[in-house]
Amino acid sequence: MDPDERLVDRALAGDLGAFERLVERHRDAVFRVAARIVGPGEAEDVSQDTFVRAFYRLGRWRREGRFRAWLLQIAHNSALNELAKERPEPADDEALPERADHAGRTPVALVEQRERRRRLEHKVGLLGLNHRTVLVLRDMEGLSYEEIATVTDSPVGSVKGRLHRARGELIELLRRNTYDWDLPDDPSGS
Amino acid sequence: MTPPDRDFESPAEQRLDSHLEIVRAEPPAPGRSLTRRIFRTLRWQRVLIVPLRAVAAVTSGVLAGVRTLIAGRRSPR
Repeated sequence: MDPDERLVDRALAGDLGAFERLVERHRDAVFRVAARIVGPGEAEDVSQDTFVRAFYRLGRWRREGRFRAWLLQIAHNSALNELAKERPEPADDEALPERADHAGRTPVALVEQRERRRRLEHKVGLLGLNHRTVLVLRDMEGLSYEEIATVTDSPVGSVKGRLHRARGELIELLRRNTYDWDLPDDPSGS
Repeated sequence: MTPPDRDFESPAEQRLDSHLEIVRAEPPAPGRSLTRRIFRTLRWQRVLIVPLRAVAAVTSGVLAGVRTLIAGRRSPR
């Protein structure tokens, strides 16, 4: 039995406190996925939209899948709606100003790690939407292939193929970056 | 947040996984006000939705009654 099922039942019976517990339980995951798909600026709006939609659709959750996957499916759709609004394409980070304002106050290794993380997050943001979504769900959120198939409404085989291509695309983006990511060449040449 | 099983195949993918660990280690987090915002929205929507549903139910009942009356008058005796 899904650990959320009882809370869903209580929320369906009108217990707003039960739904609040569901929000508390899943809000961080929903926000992380939203932030990594639409960016941190829009992630709160997407998260709010996700939970409000979920509240009115609780009765539509088919209980053979996990509640989290169903919720992330709503978050994914909400993120797609947000992205459909006209917005500029992200620029490559080579052109972005460096953030060195803390360099004098933070240990060098920490600054180096923060910079690596910033560049890596930016490169993930440059991936095509389908690739970015599966990479975030699998390699950052740790969802199973079946859960990702539910979230993206795709067959498991497509999810696996997309993930393989997404990783390849990200590796190529990092290889073209001036930063040294120390990525070995693939002996098969793929 | 760690993948349930390691399926990184090539050495480059394995290296990529170790880089992604930096991102996994410091995930973006929502502000404290997110839950409050969600419930504020839900509460005011519920305040509107209950009377709106009642008005819709009454309206549809009245319309159904009027339709029955009109149909009754038109039907030949």
